[in-house]
Amino acid sequence: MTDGVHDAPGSNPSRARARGRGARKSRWLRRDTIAGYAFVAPSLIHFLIFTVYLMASSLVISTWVWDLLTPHHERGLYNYRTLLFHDPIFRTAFKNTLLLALYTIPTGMALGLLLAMAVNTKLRGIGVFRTAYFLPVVVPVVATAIIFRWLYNPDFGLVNWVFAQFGVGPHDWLGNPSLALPALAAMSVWQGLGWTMTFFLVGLQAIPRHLYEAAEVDGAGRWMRFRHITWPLLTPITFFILVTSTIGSLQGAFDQVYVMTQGGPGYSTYTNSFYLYTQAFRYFHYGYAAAYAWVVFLVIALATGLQFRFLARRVNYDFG
Amino acid sequence: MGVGYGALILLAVLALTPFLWTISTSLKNIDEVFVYPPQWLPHHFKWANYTTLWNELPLGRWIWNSSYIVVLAVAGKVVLASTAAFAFARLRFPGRDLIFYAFLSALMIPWEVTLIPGFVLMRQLGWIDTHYALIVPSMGDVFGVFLLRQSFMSIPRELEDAARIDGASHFMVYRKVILPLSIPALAVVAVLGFMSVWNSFIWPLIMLNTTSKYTLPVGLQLLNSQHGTDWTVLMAGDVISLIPVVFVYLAAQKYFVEGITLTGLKG
Repeated sequence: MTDGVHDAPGSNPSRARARGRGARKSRWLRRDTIAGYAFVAPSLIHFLIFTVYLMASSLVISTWVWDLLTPHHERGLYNYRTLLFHDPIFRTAFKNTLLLALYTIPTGMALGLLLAMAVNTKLRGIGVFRTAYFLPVVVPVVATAIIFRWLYNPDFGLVNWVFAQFGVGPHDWLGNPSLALPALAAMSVWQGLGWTMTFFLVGLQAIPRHLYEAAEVDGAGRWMRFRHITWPLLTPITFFILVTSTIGSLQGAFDQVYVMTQGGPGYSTYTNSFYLYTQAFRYFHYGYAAAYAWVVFLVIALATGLQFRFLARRVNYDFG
Repeated sequence: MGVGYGALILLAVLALTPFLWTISTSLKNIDEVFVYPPQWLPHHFKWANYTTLWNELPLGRWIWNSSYIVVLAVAGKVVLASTAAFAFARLRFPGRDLIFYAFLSALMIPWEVTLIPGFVLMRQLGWIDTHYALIVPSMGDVFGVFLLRQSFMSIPRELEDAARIDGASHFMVYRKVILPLSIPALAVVAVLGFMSVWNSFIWPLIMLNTTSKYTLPVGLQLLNSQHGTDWTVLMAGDVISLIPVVFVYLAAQKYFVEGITLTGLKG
């Protein structure tokens, strides 16, 4: 993420130039300064209000017991303590969120890589196929969630019909507490596959042809070439996808849960974001929800930190 | 590597079947929906599903709301991100790098953290149940700033110097030199912005109360909750809501994929 941040934005030539100008330097610098602030101002004001102020406000609200209508009570870490130690639904929602991550990330990455390898070809019309595979990525989750409610219908759904061809089922996918979460995960994998595919495809296309040719000359088979060329050279992309999908997953799916299951049956599809939403906008526990958001933030920061700590050094940045 | 057309077609079927099935269902008579095994195509196209829906719910209104909100929000994103990126890439002023790093750090914040205080702020501003609440907060685009800064930095200094010798102001350089040379990057920012604003659900869900002010996803969810098992009408609503986004995707496809790719290159 920090790549390119360190090469200061074209400032070295301009610095040298400014020095050379001698007397006119200070006037130019002042003009630059005023213009610089003027150009940054709209974004900066937006940032100060909608990021900095809201973050600070969130931290303050997280220490309140507050329903927005009556005056708040300042209760320190009360919300955090309740959430972490006395809220079984939080534990369920957190567990479900982790399970969803576990179901979707490895499957999505493996299938995405296979799909990328399938479309990494010069066949005529391959662009049409890539367009088709990427389509689910761009449409609203609300729209696909409604479609999947229909596909998962226990009596007339297409999914049950497909499984029936293999003698399995029928199942009430969204109505069965042990199937609902995997069913949501399957939909997420389907919808996210084009995204993963596109990244892996970029990675595959960056691998120099001559490496494969050399390996072939040496008699390396398909698997050997994958194991010793493709996989090591893809590690930067793989790592990036892993980190970003972990961040996305830990926030917890909201749209599809809201549309398809409302957290049910029971609490079997409550996720972090859905439970946070219900706490705030159904039970009016705004302080509690704010504290919840900070816990989610800390967990995400921790998970990302751990991934960088333990996996980043296994990433191969050397493109020989 | 790569596989033959057979496998590619099979995969395309997997990717597209949900959409095709939606279209088919939306044109069926209800007695063709509740049959097992499934009937692949309707005997007669029942367009009445669409007219019923169109007359019952303000779908046209929702499409209009979503459209103008997305246009204004994306215009705001492009203006705010490009001006800031210009300052970061081309101007020197005290605190510049500090501000830039502060912007970058915002990329790590999950949306949950600003949800509650955002709601409270909108309430204080009297923006609940207005479209200001959807447009103004989404005008910020830290990632857009990052992308455009990278792009602006790659434009040769000489072009800018030539304009300055002719007496061009900073604004003229931004407007007449930098922007015209960065159309692809600006398009990527616009397309990514379109996706996030058009598809956004939870924020408009908590902001809007009046049905006629809904955006398309929130309206679609209303349909989902009211007509939960009225599959033909529900699928018709889904098809209508998919048409605009699919159209934009096919028209600007290059920038969608490029945008996604650039998201990766920051890693």
